[in-house]
Amino acid sequence: MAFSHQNYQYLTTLLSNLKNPIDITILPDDYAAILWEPPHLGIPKRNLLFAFKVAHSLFFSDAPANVKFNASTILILTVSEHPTAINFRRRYLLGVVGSGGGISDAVSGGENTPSDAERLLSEGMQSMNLLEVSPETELNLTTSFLTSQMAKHNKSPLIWNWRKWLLEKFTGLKLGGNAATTTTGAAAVEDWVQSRVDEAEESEATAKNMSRLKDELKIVRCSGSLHRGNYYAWSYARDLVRSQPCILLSPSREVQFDLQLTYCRTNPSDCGGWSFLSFMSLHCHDDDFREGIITQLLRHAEFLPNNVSSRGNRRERAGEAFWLCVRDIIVGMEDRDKAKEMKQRTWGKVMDGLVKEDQRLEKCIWTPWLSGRALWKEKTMEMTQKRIQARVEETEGEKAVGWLERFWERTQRAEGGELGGGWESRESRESGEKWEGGKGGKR
Amino acid sequence: MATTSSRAPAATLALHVEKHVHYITTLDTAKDTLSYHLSEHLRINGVYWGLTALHLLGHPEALPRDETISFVTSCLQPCGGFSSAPGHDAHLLSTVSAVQILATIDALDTIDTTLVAKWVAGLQQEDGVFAGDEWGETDTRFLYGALNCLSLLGKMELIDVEKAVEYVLRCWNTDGGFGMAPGAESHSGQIFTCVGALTIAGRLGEIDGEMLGDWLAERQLANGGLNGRPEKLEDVCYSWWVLSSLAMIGRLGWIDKEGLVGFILGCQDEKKGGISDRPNDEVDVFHTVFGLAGLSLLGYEGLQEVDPVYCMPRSVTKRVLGN
Repeated sequence: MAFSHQNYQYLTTLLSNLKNPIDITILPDDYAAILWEPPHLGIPKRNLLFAFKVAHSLFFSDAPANVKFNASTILILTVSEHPTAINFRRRYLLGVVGSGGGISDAVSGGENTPSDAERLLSEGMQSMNLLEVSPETELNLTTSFLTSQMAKHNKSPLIWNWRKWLLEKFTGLKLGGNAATTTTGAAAVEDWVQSRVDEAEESEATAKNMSRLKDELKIVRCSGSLHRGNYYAWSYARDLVRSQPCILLSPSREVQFDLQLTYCRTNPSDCGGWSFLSFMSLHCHDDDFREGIITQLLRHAEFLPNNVSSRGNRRERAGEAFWLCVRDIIVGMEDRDKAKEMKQRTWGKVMDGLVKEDQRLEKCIWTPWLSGRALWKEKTMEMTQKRIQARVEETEGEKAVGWLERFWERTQRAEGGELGGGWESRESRESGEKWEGGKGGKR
Repeated sequence: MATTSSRAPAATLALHVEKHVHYITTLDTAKDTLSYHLSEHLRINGVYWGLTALHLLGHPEALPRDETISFVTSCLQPCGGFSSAPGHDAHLLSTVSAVQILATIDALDTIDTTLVAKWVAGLQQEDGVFAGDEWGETDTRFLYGALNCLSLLGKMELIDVEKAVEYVLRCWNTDGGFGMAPGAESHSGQIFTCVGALTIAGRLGEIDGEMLGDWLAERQLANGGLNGRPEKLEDVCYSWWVLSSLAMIGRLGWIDKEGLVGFILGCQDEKKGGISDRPNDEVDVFHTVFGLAGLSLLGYEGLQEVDPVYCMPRSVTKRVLGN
């Protein structure tokens, strides 16, 4: 028991009141003790679990709030997806900072009302060991988790959202993500123009926010490089860009695109990185600039077949994420003639570099010819052919509609679109009836 | 936590039903131990996964009904939401699992369904999406979860379904897939939530099944397994997210079924029971249920039929929803 408490005390001391982020690694049990060489903290798994035992019993007891606060650190360190521990810290921080009230009192049942916050604060103040909890220390802790090698922490939706909450609550950055914003077309351009107007009116706040934004993007790229396909990191990055769309105007635009291109080239099999590059392209509203990006990418394409992913076994799909990014940038172009021209250039590049295949791929509606299909094994090609066949049979002869045209058709939201086919339960298959989908409960 | 597995490789391509039943039913016996505490934050989800797996395996009585009801009701918070375990905070994901469990064992009458439904409905945001709890994280996972549980409770009228559908349609990407929010990267799991939500709302006709079908069918790799996004590794749980989405849009034939069956069966632990994310990794109940659900969708002999919208036995959703 003493060993557990020692580990617990040591870890909570090291992780409290972080003035700067630290680098946390979980070590194998060959290591005898916790290693601390600031800013590097190495914790053998066994030591962490001993500390967790103590933390768990304290957190779920009647201990004072500041004790539970420390315990919550170890809970989150051990189990990244721990909403109860993270929520406790939010309430505690609100009590300390005094901003009171939660996001939706109607839902919470008053669990984060000002009176609760005051109670927490007074309980916290009772202890001799005053915690210096602030938004800054909490941000440093989340940075430490999100940029660590701990695979579950650096991609945790809860921890990314916790960080977003901290920024929105305490720094004035609004990362809510504008759900009403369309991603292409005239409405998007309008949003962009409006954002320029808004920015001009708040230039001082803007400069500060832009600086913060760039730091946040650094954290995203660091986290992304530690965890390939880090979905929530790149979603967070989208929220950042939407909060300050002027980051995609010159001169910061060139810098950010360079940084992102470098990231993608360094992590060539990271679909998250490539997808964010196409997102940035979609939001920069400048077809000439997009053409420049594609030209750079097509030059890079020559190196792709030699790329082997970090896992060493993905040669069969090398370049898939890359080519889908190229395609998505083209699809997002506003000038349709330019888009068609870029498609021709890209197709030419693909055919130059790859083994010639079944010419029917050219005529098909779908797009995976961009994914370096020639590198796949035969079995995959067989499945691909089966699917092409099913599609051809389904659509009454081949439709010579290219994927660009198809996308444009969809964005015009043609009315009365028929899906054709739905899931059939075994019963209805036998009876010949078609199930049309759930219609809600009947209770 | 996972150590290198030293189990024997799957010698034959058979489904080891009894082993899986044993694995699931012995999961919960070590209460108040470290491993129990370490999984508390998703305990109620674990019960849903285990219960559903047992039903699909044809052993619906293997988990004691009264104990299950007792555990689930002990997770109900005064606000109307469920937590993952007693003493934890309420969250939508726990609430969905709670409702699914009670629906499966026909015990929805043991809770105040109006209170629960009102709490869930209160999480809908102005733009139609749902938050996971009072702290405001939004995601199409929560939107789907809300529609899932409210439809099971028969309380869809409490929310703005139209707004929810509009939000989902804004999440449709140029590549044919869906993400967690408008403009987010397409992801198999998020596609399942969006397609499932549209199906529950009766609005599946609004999306382009061919483009989406293409994106989903591209998830299959040469080893037969499915991944979640381009250049990611195959994972048994995507046998569910991808396959159920394909089933909902009527394109189950667009993947190599035999290849996928072989892949899932190869992820079993013959000695211990259970299914892992990929061959020779440590098993867990999450991958067990989704591997079995995938096999059921593929028509594997001996498994009960699964509902691709709810990931629950079809017999249950038919009973609860009446269709």
